[in-house]
Amino acid sequence: MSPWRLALGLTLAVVLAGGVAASSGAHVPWHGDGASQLRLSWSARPERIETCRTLSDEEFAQRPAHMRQRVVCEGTTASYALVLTADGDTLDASVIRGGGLRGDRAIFVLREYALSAGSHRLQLRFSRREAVDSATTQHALPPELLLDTGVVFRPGQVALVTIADRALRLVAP
Amino acid sequence: MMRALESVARRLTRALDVAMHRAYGWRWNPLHLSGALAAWLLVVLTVTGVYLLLFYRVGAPAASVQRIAADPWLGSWMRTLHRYATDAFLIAAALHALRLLGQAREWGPRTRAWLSGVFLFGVGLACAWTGFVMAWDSFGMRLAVAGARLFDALPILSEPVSRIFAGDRPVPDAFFFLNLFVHIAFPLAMGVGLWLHVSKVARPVLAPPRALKWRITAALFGLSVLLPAPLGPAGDPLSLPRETPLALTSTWWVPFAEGAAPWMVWTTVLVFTLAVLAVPFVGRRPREGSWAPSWVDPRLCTGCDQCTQDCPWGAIQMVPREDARPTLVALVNPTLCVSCGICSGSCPPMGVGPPGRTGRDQLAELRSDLLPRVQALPRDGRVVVLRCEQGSSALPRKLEAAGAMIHPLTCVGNLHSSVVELLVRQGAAGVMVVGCPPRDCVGREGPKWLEQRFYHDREAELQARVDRARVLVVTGALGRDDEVLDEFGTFRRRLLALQALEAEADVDLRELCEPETAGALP
Repeated sequence: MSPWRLALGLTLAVVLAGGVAASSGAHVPWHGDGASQLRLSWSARPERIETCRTLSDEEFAQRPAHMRQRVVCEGTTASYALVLTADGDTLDASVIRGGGLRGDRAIFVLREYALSAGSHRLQLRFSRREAVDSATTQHALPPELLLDTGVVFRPGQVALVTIADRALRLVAP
Repeated sequence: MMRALESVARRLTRALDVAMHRAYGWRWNPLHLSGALAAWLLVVLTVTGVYLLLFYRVGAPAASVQRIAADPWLGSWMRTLHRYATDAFLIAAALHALRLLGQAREWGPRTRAWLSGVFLFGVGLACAWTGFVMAWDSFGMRLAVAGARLFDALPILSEPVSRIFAGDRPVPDAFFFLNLFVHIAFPLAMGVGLWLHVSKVARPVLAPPRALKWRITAALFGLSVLLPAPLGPAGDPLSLPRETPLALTSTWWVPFAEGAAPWMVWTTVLVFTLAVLAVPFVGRRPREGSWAPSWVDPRLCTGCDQCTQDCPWGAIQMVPREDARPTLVALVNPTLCVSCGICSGSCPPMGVGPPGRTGRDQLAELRSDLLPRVQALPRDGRVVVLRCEQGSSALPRKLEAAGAMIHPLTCVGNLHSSVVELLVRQGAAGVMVVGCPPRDCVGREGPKWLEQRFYHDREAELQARVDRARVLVVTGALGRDDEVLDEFGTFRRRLLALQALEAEADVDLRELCEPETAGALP
């Protein structure tokens, strides 16, 4: 092998190997400089809303024997209004329903909002939209959850709000 | 559209080959063995992966990987070698696909190889994904979040996966265990995929030559020692890293997956995957003309079995004859035949090959076209070059300028030795055969069988009566036309020193080769 070809071969090998290393060690922006974020994350069972009535004697008699219950209930699942403001500006106002086709599965909330670093006043309301006869519900969630707090966001930091002990809580920072 | 794509792939592949041949020569061109190199890199990945697995802890993924990376004696370079080998595997696999596309080797009987290759490449990407997540540095977390976002868009999971990474609770060990399980299960699936990939190939090459594979492994090892792969800080769901390391070779899709809507990402993945999987079906040719499958003339077949041994695709088998002769007869399975024509050169009585390219067809073409032109030349200028059409497109012009008479072949493996014998006995001063590098043959094994037929008495051998001083077999690598021209010049000078041959009259090699029971033949 000629010295010229040896040098060319070695150079090409170094370039190719360097290319592999460079491609493996590239740094790519993710959240950028000074980003901070408010994250809402919780799961909960939505309220089951039941409407119960007592069957008349005639209705009761028409039922097959194995379905004869004097009180029958029909139920739906509650939906919730989520309203979030930061320093008086509304960041989110939306309706949250349970999962599944009929909306009767658990509620999963995972929302992220970019906020500038610094101090912010956060107000969060998570409230049931339907009026419920409290005597017939199981109170899976309180009818209304409120959070009103000031948060200092540092660059690169996430403020996390979740539901713990049946209340909205700021768990980080 | 498909032909344009093949043309682009062909040009790209040839340009890369030229660069590699200039730097390393054709013997050491790794691109010719990109598929075998990918298979070898899977071995490297398995060995380094088993080592890393011994020290990886599902309960403390980031800490355990950081401990591995901090070990300067073994852990650091083992981890980096694992990562660089992943990159090299994906590059080798992509180049392998590009080469096959450029050589129109993606359709017909090769469809299964293409489809399983796409599967292997996809699994390789997925394996890299889970591997990065295992490390659970900022980049691993980024990949996990990007993946969770995509999976949450599919209506298959009751609870969004993304909530795992919300930060309101620690990322469960079960997630890392599942990720580890997938990372190990995928390579097992790759074993099955690899078996499928080569299942229609006779004598698949799964290991590169020893020197080449160890050189490449040593290069990756040296790179691992000199430039350890970066490892970001441990993944923290409650922090927002400004940037992360990103392995461009294996996770180039991440910026797109993060920026686009999940439905758009899934649609793109689906469309791209379907398009790649459709390549063998869109690229197929009608099985006629140069793509017609080989056939066997049973009257000529002596049952010698040589074509079944030489066929690189296992497309020929021996079956009982329908006539009274006691031998078996060769039968071509057209669904397996790729029309490479290797069998044409393997049959002593010249009874097999694609239509128009059997040994008899080659002799007929020689008599009608080439021989008169050769015999019209001055005696010392009768040097014939039989060259593979797949080689350098500029070479014929250069050889003609140097005084050669050129005759193209679809592959040197097609060439029947009788053609060379007839040329020499009918007045050619010498015959030079220019083939492709053996590991880059479109017909897979053309140069290998040619060399054995000419110099090692493989069946359908070049007869001993042909003076080997008048025959030369050379390799014409792309970008190395100068080497072929040098060989031609030397050969020509050698021929001038030999005594001139008189052309023999009435040489009929067809009759010499026919079995006595063949009856009247065309």
